[in-house]
Amino acid sequence: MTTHPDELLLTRWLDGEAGAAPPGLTDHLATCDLCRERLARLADEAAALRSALALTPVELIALRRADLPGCVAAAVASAQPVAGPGRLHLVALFSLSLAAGLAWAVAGPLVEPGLRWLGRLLDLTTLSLLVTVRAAVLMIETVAGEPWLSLGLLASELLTITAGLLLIGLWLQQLRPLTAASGAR
Amino acid sequence: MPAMALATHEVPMTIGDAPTDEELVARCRRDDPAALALLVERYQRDVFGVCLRLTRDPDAALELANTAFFKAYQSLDSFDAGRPLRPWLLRIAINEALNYLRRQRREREHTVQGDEGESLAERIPGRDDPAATVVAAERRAAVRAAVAALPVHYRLLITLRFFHELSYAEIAEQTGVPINTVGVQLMRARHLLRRALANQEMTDDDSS
Repeated sequence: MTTHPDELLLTRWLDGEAGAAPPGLTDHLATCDLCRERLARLADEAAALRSALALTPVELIALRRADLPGCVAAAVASAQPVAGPGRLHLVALFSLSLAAGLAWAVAGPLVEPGLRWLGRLLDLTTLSLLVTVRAAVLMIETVAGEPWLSLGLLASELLTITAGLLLIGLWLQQLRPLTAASGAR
Repeated sequence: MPAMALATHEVPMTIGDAPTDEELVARCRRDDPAALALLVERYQRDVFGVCLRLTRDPDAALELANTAFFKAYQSLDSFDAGRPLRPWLLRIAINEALNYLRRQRREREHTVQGDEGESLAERIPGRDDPAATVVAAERRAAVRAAVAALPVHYRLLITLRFFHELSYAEIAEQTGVPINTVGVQLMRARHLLRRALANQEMTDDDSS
């Protein structure tokens, strides 16, 4: 190499990025004081940058005090999906309605026919609405990829929806004779 | 230290040695809190360091590092465990830091304009402290301030090269800069630093 290598070549070679030393470079550096001095300056500059960019003791102390592992763990724990209040209220309402419907199914025969019919109609309407809403929310959450809390919750929600649908079916069957009777009158 | 940290939790898969990144990732995927803590401990300097050097704000850097690790944890299922973990984590941290800087830019004007010498002087921590007479410490502070004053892109390149010791190929992967251009851009960044430091020395000479 008869000409002095440019700064880019020297830098890449210093950084170990030039691959094998370009032909003549090592010989040139052995004989050229100017280029050896340039190389030394580049090496000093790199060392100064490394030293300056290293985390200072103050920064390291701040990092240690911040307890990043603890903070990340807390963030992960708080991000675990839990039943939102809306979902719990829906489940509670559904369960209450189901319980009321079951109670009415048991106590219904003791009540006057007219009131029995009205009570069952109200229960039927409420339960149908809740089943529809609950099933829709379930579908939307599944499509949206919402994480499920647990298989247990999923199973219980599917069971309650199934039970509700069965109950609706039973009541519809029971309502038919009642409506037929009121129509015949 | 890692072995002690794991002693009260799961038995490490590599008894007597620190678990590999692959092992840690596998355990994190099984929601092992000890593995997550070890992973954060292992890479917190890298992640915090890049956030700090980019944002120049220690509080923001801690917050961003926390967010970066959290997002990394959430994305572990999509991470190819056969690939090195460190560059992937750095990538997430860099994105967080750059997004933060974009938000900051939208919220307020940058103040690193005007007289470069003045802004560098404000950033040198030892200037007001008469006790800060150690030349090396002042030099480090001046260099750090000059790096902090670089445009974000050059600041990132310098940080990845001289803090994280990434190769040109790794820098290219992190930044999207073509590998053949990395060397050129690093050289430009160093030219800017030299100019800033030379200006600072002139300012020091004028004021003394």
